[in-house]
Amino acid sequence: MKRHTRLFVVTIVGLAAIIAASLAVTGSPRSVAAQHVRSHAGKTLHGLRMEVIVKTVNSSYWTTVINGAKKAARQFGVQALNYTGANSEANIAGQIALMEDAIAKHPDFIVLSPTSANPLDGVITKAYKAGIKMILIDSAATTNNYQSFLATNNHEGGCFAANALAAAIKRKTGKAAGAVAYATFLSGVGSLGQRDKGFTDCIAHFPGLHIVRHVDAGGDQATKPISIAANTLTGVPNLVGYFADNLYTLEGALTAFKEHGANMNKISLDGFDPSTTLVTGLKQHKVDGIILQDPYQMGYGGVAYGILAAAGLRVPKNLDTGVSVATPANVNSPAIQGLLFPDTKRGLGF
Amino acid sequence: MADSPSVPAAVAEPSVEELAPTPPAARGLAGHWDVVLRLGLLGIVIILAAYFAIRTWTGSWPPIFLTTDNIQNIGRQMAVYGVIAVGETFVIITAGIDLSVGSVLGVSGVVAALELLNGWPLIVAIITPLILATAIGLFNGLLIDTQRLPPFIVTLGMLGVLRGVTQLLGSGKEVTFDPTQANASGFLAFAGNTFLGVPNLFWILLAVSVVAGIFLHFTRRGQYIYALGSNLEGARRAGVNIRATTLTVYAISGFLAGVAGIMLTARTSLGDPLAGTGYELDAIAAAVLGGASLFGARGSIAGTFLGVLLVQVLANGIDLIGVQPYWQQVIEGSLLIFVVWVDQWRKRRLAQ
Repeated sequence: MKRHTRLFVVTIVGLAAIIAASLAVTGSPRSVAAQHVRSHAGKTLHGLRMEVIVKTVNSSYWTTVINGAKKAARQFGVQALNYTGANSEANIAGQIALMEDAIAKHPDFIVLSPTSANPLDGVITKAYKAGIKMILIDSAATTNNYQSFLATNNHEGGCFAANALAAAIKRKTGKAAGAVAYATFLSGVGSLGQRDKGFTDCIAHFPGLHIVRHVDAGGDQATKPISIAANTLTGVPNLVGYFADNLYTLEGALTAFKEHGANMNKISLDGFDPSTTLVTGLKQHKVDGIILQDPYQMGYGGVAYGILAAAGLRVPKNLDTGVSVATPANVNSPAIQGLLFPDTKRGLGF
Repeated sequence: MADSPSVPAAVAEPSVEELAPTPPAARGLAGHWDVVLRLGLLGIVIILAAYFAIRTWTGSWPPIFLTTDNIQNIGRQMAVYGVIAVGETFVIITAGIDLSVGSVLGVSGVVAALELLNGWPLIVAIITPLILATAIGLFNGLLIDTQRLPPFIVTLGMLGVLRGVTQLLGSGKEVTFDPTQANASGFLAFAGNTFLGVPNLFWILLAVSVVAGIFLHFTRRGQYIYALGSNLEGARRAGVNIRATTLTVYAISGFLAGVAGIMLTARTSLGDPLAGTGYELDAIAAAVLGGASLFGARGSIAGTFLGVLLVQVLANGIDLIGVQPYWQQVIEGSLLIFVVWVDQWRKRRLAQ
């Protein structure tokens, strides 16, 4: 047995060492224990605890949301237990698990962007009934059990995109006419569906433009967005316009257009959400328009509303955080720069 | 029937004692290393639990990690992964692999959701996906056994086929059904509720694990499963029905993936066509952490259960203390490598 005892000890010590080392080098995780027993009579605004759960942390859009939330947390002195999200925007069960864990920590409020409308209802309601204030951002849930919902008017954004695409097409080819295609990141997601509908509704105002193809990236953030755009370019040789309804599909389209050697004097591209690559593409006239939401405000305002709700004040049930269109012409204007670089260039207000 | 002309179908399969190629140590229950590993895993789980309990101390008992709520959460969160990992264990013990389980989970969940949506009674919505999942498993097994195709390739191909079929079934969208519908409300309530303080989903995992464990460790067919992984030719010559055993393990893997799919649909209250993506890798990792070897003949249900528990406790604890989720993957991957390395080291030492 001596051999086995040694083996046993080696196993335990080795496994423990790996875990301890990994946990030890992970910087300074926020301590959940910082908050001691608080009296419930007479809530003060000091020592509020919150958690921010976005769809996924693997995205520049959600990083901007978190940056806005962090700024608010700093300015208002709120303790953030976690800024987290699942490993992909399609991982519903992962986000449910994060919500369950958050409820166990019992923060004063949670800022959540639901990965999908129905499945998160259960945990949102559970948190709400447990007295945790729920602030939803970006995407809707089906339940009504939340204090406030801050989001983009996606239909309006899709419509802006249609108008911007038509304007670009007219500028390049002389008239707003021809074959147009659009790409969605994932069918069935509320916000994306509204953008697509806004796009198709407003394209209908241009009788010369016809939507000939509608492609779907199936939720793949990596390579599908590129291939669907490339295949559209090959399959529709006289394409004049392409709309991509989110960050991944727009970046994929930009890559595909470059690889395909698309003639940007004949074809126009626009879509949702900026990134460094896309803004560079905008300046190089490889992208004609980027619809800017205001994720920074969703994060900042979400935390601010959470604080108000935690203090017992009633907050508006819905807040439209607004959309703008960035074009090669206006990309350097202060307003657009403030939306693109909110941490450093945001002007008045936040 | 060209595969084993030397073994007529009428010959009875060997008893456990006659099964010479399978030494007791390889049967998974009695081997010393297996016991050591399982104790080691349990020890690590206890150490982790203590660590997280201390880190989530709030000034009064219990610390957040040990609250009833959180323990129930862990039970719920590990249930789906656990069921699918148990199925995968059977296949791995035969030195095979089933990469299609994530997609089987997906298609089962969507079929269940579609049936609920279309008003079928709950019992139909549960039985159909299970039959489908088992049939898929049998199909995998048939291809592997009769056509001598490598399990890796067959199940990898099925992973793609099924994921595509799932998307077609739902037209690429999530399949939502009205949760207040007569056939659905009980189903969803079941997934969210507890019985005697234990989440129902976890009861399912426990039931699956106990039945699987008894089948694997205490029946003849279970021993044949180890025999296949230990020495395929030897088992064949000893008279073991290779086809029946192969079909059995892949059918079990498919069936349990179907169970997991239904559980996930109940938990998320919709049929997600992307559900289960990547779960096959988690299942394999849990089984290997628990002592299974991809070369076959090693592994146990208890070990797999502990492997899943370890991974979920880690995930839950890391989230509670606010560490970035990326570290979870780093730790899990390192653990996996470490466990396999110690196993190899042990083999080398025994061989000296």
